[in-house]
Amino acid sequence: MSRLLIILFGGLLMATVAMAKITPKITKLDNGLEVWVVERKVLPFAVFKLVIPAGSVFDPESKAGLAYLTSQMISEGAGNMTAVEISDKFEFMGADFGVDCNKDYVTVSLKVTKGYMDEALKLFATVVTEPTFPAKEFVRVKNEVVGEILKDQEDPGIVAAQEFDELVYGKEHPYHRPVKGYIDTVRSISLDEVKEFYKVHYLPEGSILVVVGDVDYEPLIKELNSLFKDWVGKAPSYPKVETPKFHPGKKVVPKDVVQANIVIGHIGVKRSNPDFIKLYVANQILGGGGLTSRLFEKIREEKGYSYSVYSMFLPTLYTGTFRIVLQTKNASADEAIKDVISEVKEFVEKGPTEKELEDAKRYLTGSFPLKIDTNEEIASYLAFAAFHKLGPDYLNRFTDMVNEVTLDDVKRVAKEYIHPDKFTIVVVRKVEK
Amino acid sequence: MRRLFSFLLLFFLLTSRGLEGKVLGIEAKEKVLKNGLKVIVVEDHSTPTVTFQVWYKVGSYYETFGKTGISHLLEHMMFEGTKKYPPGEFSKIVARNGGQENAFTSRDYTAYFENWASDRLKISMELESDRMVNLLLDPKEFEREKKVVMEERRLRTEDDPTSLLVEEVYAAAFKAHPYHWPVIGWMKDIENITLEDLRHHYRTYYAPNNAIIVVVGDVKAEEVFKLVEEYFGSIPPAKHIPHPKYWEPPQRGERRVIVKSPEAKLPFIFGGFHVPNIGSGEEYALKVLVNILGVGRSSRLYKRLVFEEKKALYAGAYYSSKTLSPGLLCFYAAVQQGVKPEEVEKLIWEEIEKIRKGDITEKELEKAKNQIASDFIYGLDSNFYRAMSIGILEAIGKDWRYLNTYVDNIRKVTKEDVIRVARKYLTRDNLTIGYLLPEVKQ
Repeated sequence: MSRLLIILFGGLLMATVAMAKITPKITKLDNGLEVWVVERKVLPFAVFKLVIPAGSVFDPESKAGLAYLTSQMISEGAGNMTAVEISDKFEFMGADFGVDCNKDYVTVSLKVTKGYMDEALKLFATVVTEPTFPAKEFVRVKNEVVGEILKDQEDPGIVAAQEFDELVYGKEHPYHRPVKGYIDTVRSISLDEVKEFYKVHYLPEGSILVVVGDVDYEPLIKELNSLFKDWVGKAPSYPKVETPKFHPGKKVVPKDVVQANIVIGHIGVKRSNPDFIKLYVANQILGGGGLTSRLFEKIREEKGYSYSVYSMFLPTLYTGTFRIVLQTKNASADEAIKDVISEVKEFVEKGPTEKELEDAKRYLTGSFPLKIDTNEEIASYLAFAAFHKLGPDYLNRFTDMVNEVTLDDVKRVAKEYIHPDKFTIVVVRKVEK
Repeated sequence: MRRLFSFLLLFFLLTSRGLEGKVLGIEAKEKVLKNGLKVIVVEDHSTPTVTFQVWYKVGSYYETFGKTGISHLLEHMMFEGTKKYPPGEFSKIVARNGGQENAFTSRDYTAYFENWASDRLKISMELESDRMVNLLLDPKEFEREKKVVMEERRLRTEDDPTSLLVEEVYAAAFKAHPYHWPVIGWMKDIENITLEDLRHHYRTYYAPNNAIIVVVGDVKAEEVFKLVEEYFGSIPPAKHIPHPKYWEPPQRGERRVIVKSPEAKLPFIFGGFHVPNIGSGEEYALKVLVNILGVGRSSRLYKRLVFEEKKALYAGAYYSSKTLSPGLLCFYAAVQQGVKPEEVEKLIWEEIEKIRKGDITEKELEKAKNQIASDFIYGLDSNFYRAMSIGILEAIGKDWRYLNTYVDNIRKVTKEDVIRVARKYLTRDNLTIGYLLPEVKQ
């Protein structure tokens, strides 16, 4: 019991798990595609994630949604296969295939058991390099995207988040647009525009393939070289974008809901900002994960205003956002906003205590190995690290980087990057007429 | 759930081409303490981490009219302090030790967990044994936490038209059985539950002889047993734990539900057939059937409604056999703009009719089995999910070893089995179907 008490209260033991090192082998295929491989033979399957620099930041303003629509079209016909045939083949192999598009990049994912791996990889390569963009499916997929946009409008949380991006970035920054675009702009996109977007952006040089699981490096690279040999070219680099300005203000979006959905914040930083990890630690104390942050304590544990409340710095290629997200019944909205802002002000002015910092570091370093204990999670983290050029040893360095953050660092970055007087506030709520 | 936190509850066993003859499964050691507490341990030394889970046989199944949501509310209060650890302290201790923690309540069970470095195991023992018996249930914390749970209901259900529809369909499908009400409870019930109700629920169901501990990770089973004995061994068993039996009377005709929502932009269809659960012997054929009908983009429903007819944004079906009582085999479709839900429902029936008539290919059958087998393998790649699949089975009174024969049993399912269960259960008279309709403002 005595040792336990020490762990519970004294904290003499470090909470860091002696984590097995995860160091990918990195190479470039003959066509210039960068490949990261982690041989992890715990179970007979592997995860593949292909990151392509073709996110919605490349959309022309009047064609918002082009990148997303293109990403949704690549599996709608490829080689000599129809859309249904492609799905049918993947599913027959028990494989999970999917394409995701965010503001920065597209991820094409495959999860498959060892016995079907060669076959599934071949299909994966065909979808990525030989999509046929059938006109018939294009009309259907376009209508589906319009339907998805309508569905998103049912969700007050999504409405609030999108409105927040519109206000915080203003029209001049590409991040103001939702990834799926707007109904009008999506309707205006032609099949030729999708084909052209694919031709220009879906290229091996600049893309990265991450592989984690039951694979053998040498034969895998050989196979990949053969599968992707005809796929050549260099993806264009990201456009220059002016750093966004602050757009303080408040907007109420009327919606027939019982709960006000609130987003408070302003522009944040790029993931490449050298202060990012310091901000990550600072944010952990203010409103990060777990059930112990200051905002959680105040808004939920003291006031009972909200089920979920958190803050975050979005890790993006261009300047991201800092945002606080919560929901509370319409009647409590104003009080909750006041409490959030005063909590943030106090945090920025006085900073956290040494103990709070210590606890946050222990939580972040201790729980990190738990977040990367499956093929899927390791592949996701590595794809993110690879895109943001955080280095192949990022996962292994993470704990040290967090441990190096000092109280002065946290106080400084909180003051430098969080400005309650410049907050943009969006409230989606019922407005009595 | 204490925090937004979602996961797939689908775990299935294997033996497929992916396995090269190896049989993957779960190897566990188990022990039952004198006070009735069951402990199940899976040793896995691949990473120096452990998941510790306590499962209680209590959930919304064990509730009554007027007190719905009490199990979930109690789950929230389990984080609000004991004599030894004041409110909030539990979470702080876990966080400070680099742990992830949370809890979830379902119809059939409530579970609490910590995931962390394996040398933290003792802290789980200390904290979980303490809150099994020493919960404070402070009136002030209770009133505040009630508000939090009401906000949770607003977030998850009241402002989500699709959730409201699912809730209504279940309420119509089950009339006599407690699957009638949602796990989170009806809003007014949450508001009306008293601290005395909660105390009674706690004393009745939180006892070693109503719990299962599942530990998966870098531990030695014998040491875990010793520690559990040390920390939980002295907790007295409850004398009487009610395990009420409820039966849903047979349905004698289709039931239809309409939900109107001012914020719905598109119609949505959700339907369910009463079907048997685990132990019936029919769960394997039903699982294969549901995959053929609606799992994946090449399944019957998606292919017909989305690809061919273009009348839905997406469509599918699901079925979970691992429940205390027989549940529903469900299907859904997000109806496209300008399409009437009746048109989509007609197409769904056409697809069901085809299966009932025997129109299933061998390839479709094999595809369904491959999907189920691979999903099982993917699910094994995490201590947490393995512990969960064990916990669910044990909490509904089944043996975790069921997992190790599951895929074999799936492989044995024949085309005739699938057709038989389709004919038996996928009938109009056995269906409850609901439409979500956007409310047009006058």
